[in-house]
Amino acid sequence: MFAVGFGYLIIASLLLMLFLSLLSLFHRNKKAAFSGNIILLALISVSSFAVMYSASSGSVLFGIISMSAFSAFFIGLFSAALILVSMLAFDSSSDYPLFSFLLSLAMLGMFFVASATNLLQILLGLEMVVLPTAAMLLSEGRSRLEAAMKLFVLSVLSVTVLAFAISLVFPYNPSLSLSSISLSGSGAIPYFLILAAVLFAAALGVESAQFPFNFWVPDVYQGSPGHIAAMLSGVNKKVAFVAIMEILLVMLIALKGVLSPMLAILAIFTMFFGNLLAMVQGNVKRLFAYSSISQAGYIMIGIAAAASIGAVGVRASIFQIFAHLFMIIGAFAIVSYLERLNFKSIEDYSGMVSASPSIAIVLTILMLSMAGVPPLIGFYGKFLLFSSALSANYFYLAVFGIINSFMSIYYYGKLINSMFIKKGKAQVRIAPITLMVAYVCVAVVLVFGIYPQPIIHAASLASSALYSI
Amino acid sequence: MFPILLSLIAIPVIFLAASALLGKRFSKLLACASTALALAISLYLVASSFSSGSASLSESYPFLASLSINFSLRLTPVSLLLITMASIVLFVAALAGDIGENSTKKSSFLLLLFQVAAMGIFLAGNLLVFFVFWDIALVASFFFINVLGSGNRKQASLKFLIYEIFASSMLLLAIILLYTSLHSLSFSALQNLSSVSGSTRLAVLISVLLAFFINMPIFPLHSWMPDAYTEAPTRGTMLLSGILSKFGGYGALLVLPYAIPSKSFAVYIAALAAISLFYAAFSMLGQKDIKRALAYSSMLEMGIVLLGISSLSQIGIEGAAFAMFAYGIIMALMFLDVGALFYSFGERDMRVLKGALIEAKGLAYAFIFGIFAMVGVPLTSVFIGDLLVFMGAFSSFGVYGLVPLAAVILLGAYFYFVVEKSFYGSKEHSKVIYVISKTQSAGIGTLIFFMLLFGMLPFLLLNMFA
Repeated sequence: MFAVGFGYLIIASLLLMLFLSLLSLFHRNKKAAFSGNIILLALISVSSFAVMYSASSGSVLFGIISMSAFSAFFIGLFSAALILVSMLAFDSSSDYPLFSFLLSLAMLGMFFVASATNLLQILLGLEMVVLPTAAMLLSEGRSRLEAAMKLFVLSVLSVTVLAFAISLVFPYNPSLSLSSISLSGSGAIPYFLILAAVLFAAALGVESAQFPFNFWVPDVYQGSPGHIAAMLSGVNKKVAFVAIMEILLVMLIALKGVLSPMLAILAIFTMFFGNLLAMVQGNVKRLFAYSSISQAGYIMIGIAAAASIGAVGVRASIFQIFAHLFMIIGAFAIVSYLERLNFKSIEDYSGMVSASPSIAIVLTILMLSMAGVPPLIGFYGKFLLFSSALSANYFYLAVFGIINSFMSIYYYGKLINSMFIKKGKAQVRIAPITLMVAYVCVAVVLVFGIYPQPIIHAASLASSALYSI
Repeated sequence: MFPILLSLIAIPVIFLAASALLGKRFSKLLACASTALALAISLYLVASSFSSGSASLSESYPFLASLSINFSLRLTPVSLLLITMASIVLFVAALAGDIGENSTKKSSFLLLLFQVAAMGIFLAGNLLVFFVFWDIALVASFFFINVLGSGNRKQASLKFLIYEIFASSMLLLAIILLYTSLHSLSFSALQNLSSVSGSTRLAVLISVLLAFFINMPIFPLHSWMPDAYTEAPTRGTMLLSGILSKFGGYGALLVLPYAIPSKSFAVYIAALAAISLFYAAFSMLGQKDIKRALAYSSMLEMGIVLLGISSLSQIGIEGAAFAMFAYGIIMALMFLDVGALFYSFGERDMRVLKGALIEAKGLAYAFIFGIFAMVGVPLTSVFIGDLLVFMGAFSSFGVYGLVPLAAVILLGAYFYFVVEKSFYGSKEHSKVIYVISKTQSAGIGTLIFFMLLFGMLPFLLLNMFA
């Protein structure tokens, strides 16, 4: 009952948010739209976490929406992340009311994906996430056109492939529900299902920046203003991971013999691709774009392990999703703001410690966390991921993961080194709201890095709930 | 019961917060107070374990309940030796190490961070706690070199970071392998390592060897070391050579006896230790920069420590622990002294130090004392450490175990020439007399005091082994 009540509350708040932002679209009231967004998103976030920690579940709206610890965790996480994104947008968006409307649509889409009981819901939800994001980028002016077009075309392509994959599943799963498909008879896997699994991985691989499907990522991130870069890497990518978990780990788990090695290979290539290219980047924003690709590879390690051993791998991936979300939003908040002040390359960052010690320290903490240095949150993500890979008997996956996390210290170290050169430079001032976002991210990274138990516990709850959809 | 082990970690954390909040004026005072408290607590622990004849305390706090990993701390004789050494070195570094520094606040902050890490590592009751503090120490040392170092600090610190992160990645691999195969990370669970399958055990062995050998450092993984030791400021070098290099030694001491598959394998490690210490001795012979020469002598000493561990005998391992204690103090003394000499003379090249015996008497005599101690002259604690190590090596490897003594003789001979060529030589008509500050002479005095105290009365520390 608890979950159902809060489920309706969340739906009501989502609709109210959509309505309010639609109103503000006509009244052009930036502040009202902003405060409405923040309050409602906070309400959604708090009530979702209440559902999650109560570990109750139930279905809402005639069984369309499933409220479980899994969906509640992600609804809560995404709405919290969108609070940070709206704070960034309040500062950097050129048309906040329009952004607020598109954000409400995207939040609704995320809600659908996280609480899906049906494949079509995931398809619809993903469309509602990616298309408003492309529109947001487009609304930022002509200079963003190239990035917006790339994002739009790739997103549409991925959604189309997803639709095709769903149609392939249809004969085996006529209700299109997310409960696992059982193979009849001899247990031989039909080729069409394998093709469907590959297409699902490809379609969602585009969104989640997996290796051969991620060439758009650096260009689009570089061409986006801070709040959209933060949203793309911090939130949209994670929504695709949620869909991957729901489809590949639950519905198609009968194919795990095929899926697990395929995802492991995907993870390895993605990590190496991201890290190797990040090493040669001179532009800081591109560096973080490639580093976020490699982080997508790490998250995939847990999913590959989960395909063979279940909840332990999902827990690791969920933890890393939580960790990376805050790390990358904080990093893009600062890096994009500095980009507007014409700090672009690693050389431009030299002397940052004299120009603004707080920026240098914040970025250093975030980067050390991304590199997996304890006692910061990124370390526990990697610890969980690599140990889940070993429990699934993927020794080489764990070793490649560790090699990659070692490789990443090279480019993070280069940037840290450059920031801590002492130089008499003009002071850099960052808008307080952007700095606040960065501070929140650093606080999460530090607090849950020193004491990660609450998040590990939450991830355990969510991962065990995933298997009981 | 009073959580005495936790307080050793909590005290520097509190002082760290205070140092971040309070102004420049208090930073040195805070660093001194925090390290002095740690020194007092560890001396109290030494006294109480001397009277009870044993040292074993353990504390455990809930940490990662979902993974059934606790924040557990434990005190063993070896860890008591090392926290005593670490608090002596940290105290002296806080008191006297800030020679010619103009950013005391940063340096004191990093020193306190390093104190947290050092206490955490030596008191860790499981590998996860060990690893967390290991990386904190690494970050603190990186910034010591990167922000406060001398001329070539950027390159040296990046090199240090890359090597040490590689070491910590390897350690992480070993920890994860142990966690998935033993389902526990506590040091006491390492005894079950023999039940683990051969290939996992080999992977654990290779990764811990890489991790600890980089940190100590052992040939051929040492190339970060001369640059890092040379470019770090005096405080940083004292901490790096005195304490950081002992992390690897301590880890090797804990893990290797269980991870080494057989006695015949231990011979290879002993051989590597011998190669490493001869390499260090011969590299030292070619150095003109005293700090670089000392860096190699620190590497030589870690070779001796590894020799003691690889003997796998009770006495050799105790000797390795005692030797780490003694070498930590002596390296801090030497680097502090050289730092002060460098500040007075403006050069580290030994040829410029001519006439130091007249112009900076105290420092020169302390340096000469340090050389005697490094070579292992009786009445210094290095003598006890070397004696035990070579007894262990002799019992395991026979006469071959004593071959590395030749490297110690080389060390003595080299520094004999240093003293003769530079200190005794006189410059023409130099009337300058350098006066060292009171804190520096107090720091040097403290180190010499402890060096002699535990050299003359080694049973104060050895009684608890039993």
